[in-house]
Amino acid sequence: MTGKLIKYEFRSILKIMGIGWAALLSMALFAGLFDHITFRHNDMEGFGHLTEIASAITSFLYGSLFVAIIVVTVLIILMRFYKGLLRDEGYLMHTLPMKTWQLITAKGVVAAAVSLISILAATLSVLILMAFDGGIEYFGEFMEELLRALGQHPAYIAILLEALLLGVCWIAAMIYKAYAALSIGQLAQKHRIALSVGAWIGIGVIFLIFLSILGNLSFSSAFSDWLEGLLEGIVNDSPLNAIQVGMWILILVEAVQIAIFHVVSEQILRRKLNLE
Amino acid sequence: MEWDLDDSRSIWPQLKEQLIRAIVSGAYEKGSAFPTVRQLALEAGVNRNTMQRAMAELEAEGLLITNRTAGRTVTTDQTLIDTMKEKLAEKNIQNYLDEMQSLGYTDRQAVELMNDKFERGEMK
Amino acid sequence: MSEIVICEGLTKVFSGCRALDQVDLTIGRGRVIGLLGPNGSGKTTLIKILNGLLQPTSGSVLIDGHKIGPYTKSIVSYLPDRNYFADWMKVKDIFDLFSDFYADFDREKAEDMCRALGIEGNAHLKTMSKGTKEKVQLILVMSRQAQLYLLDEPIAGVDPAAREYILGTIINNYNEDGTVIISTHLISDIERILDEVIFIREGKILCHEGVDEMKEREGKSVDEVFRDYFRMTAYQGYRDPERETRGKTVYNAGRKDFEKRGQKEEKKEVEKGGETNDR
Repeated sequence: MTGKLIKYEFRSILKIMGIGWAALLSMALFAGLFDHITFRHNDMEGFGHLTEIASAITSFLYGSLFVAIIVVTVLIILMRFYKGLLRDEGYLMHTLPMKTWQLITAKGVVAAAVSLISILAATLSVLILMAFDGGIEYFGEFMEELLRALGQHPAYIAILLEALLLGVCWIAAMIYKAYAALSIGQLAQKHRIALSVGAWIGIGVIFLIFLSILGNLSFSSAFSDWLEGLLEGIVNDSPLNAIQVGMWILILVEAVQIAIFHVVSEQILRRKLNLE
Repeated sequence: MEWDLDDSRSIWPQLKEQLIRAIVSGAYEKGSAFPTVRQLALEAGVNRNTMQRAMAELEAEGLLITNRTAGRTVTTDQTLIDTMKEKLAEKNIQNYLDEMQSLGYTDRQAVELMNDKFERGEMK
Repeated sequence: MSEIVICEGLTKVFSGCRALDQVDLTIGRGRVIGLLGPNGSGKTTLIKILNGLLQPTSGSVLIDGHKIGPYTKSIVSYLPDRNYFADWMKVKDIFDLFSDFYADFDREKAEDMCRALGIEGNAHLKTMSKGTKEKVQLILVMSRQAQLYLLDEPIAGVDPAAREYILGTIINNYNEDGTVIISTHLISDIERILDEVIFIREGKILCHEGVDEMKEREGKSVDEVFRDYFRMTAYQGYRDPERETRGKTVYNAGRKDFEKRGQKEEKKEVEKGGETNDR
């Protein structure tokens, strides 16, 4: 049933984001094309100024769209949670025969997916731009080099995948942090947005304090001895292992954050839902 | 049909009364199919429980017959319909007499007055 | 089967104010019930607790013998006092959603009812008038074969033609084994379709009784009985503290006294009240 929630969540976002992604990619195409014509074929008499203007306009539009996609992605993720669960639409969602964690999970999964697609679209648009300046060849060379290096040192594959996983977890943690902040904000009778922003900052501060305590703790002799012993066992023969251990620790930190923020949001919305 | 309901009294007896009136007056013909509870409830603007209760009373009195397949029909028993009609007529006469009594006429005077008026063609 | 709703000692406190105060309520099946009280008396709070939008401060609620959760939500059909459609939705999207989540949703019926109003599946909900949105929402809610319908102020602020449509849709479509609870302060408009009434004031249940019994006992319409109940509140506002200290009997005698003297004014008030209700 969570799958069905995800389906509707996607449908709610797809239309507007789909237009955005398509616009970004096609504008990259135009900008690249005009740029190419202007600077590679400046022998076209009379058309030179026209293409120059077109190139300037399309480049500007592309740049604006690039920024807009980032802003819209963030905004839409926040709005879908706020409007979908905490305002009038919440009267529909919270009376569906679903558990609260399912409602939140559906929002989180779709938000993470939309973020990833936006990042992918942005990357792709840069590649398109590059393609016109022969950049695609550089990219090809780069990929070849990368693959060859990975072939020689298979351990890097794992590190690359871990880096990707870390990226996804980091995004999801940010999203859930926003959900927790919005959930705390809705507890207020008035100024809910202000309280949400305050909660966001507050959560950050609490985590900083927590991490610094943890840092201090790891310097305490008994704990650090134990940790050192543990790490030495894993790291001893290769520095790559050390990187991997670091990656997994970071992934774990993000995963713990996701779990905490999810539980906080779920508990608040289940026990202290305050629509209106 | 037109429904005339008074909110200060229970609704179902009023529905019953008006349904009986509709049957004895021939608005629903003898032996013909009778509307469903749902149709009549919607028409009268009452809920189905209330209409159901009124119709159950009519069934108990034999004015409506329930068939498994064909739904409800109006009774074909003319004597029963006539008896019902007479009962209603008696009630109307009694109302008339009560009203006249409150104006100071005895029952006999009231009847004679009506007769007189009728004979002289003053009544429509 | 047991009762559809059982509340025991239900209390909801909002920032120090008791929106519901020790409510004990048992509601049977197959009934049409009016939840009647002035604005702010706790009607909406009670309904929101029954459908899980609010958690009670204390006390317990059971629907069909279960605590509020996915199961009870699957047998409760709720019409809120506001519009809950998302901006992106077309009529067919919300139909899809109802068919996906509610096993008791009769899509064909809902489509027929919309078609009768000239509303097509491709119509955008966002661009509809408020009145049309309300009708679509009512159609969705009444196209479910639910065990319990919770209708929060379905006829508030609508014109007489729309009111007729709404009431007709309710009485023509509810599941006969299910119970319908209609909250409103516009009693004369709906009293004909009620089997039972619940009077609520300041979070307390004043009375819960069958409409026929009430009419037989009082010889008045529910609307008039309701006005009697709530007229007393108005007078309590004029309480003479000196008199009150002298005890209840004196106070009651005083009230009757006041009633006689104030009868003319009162009539005017009632008429005025009627006018505002009609709007």
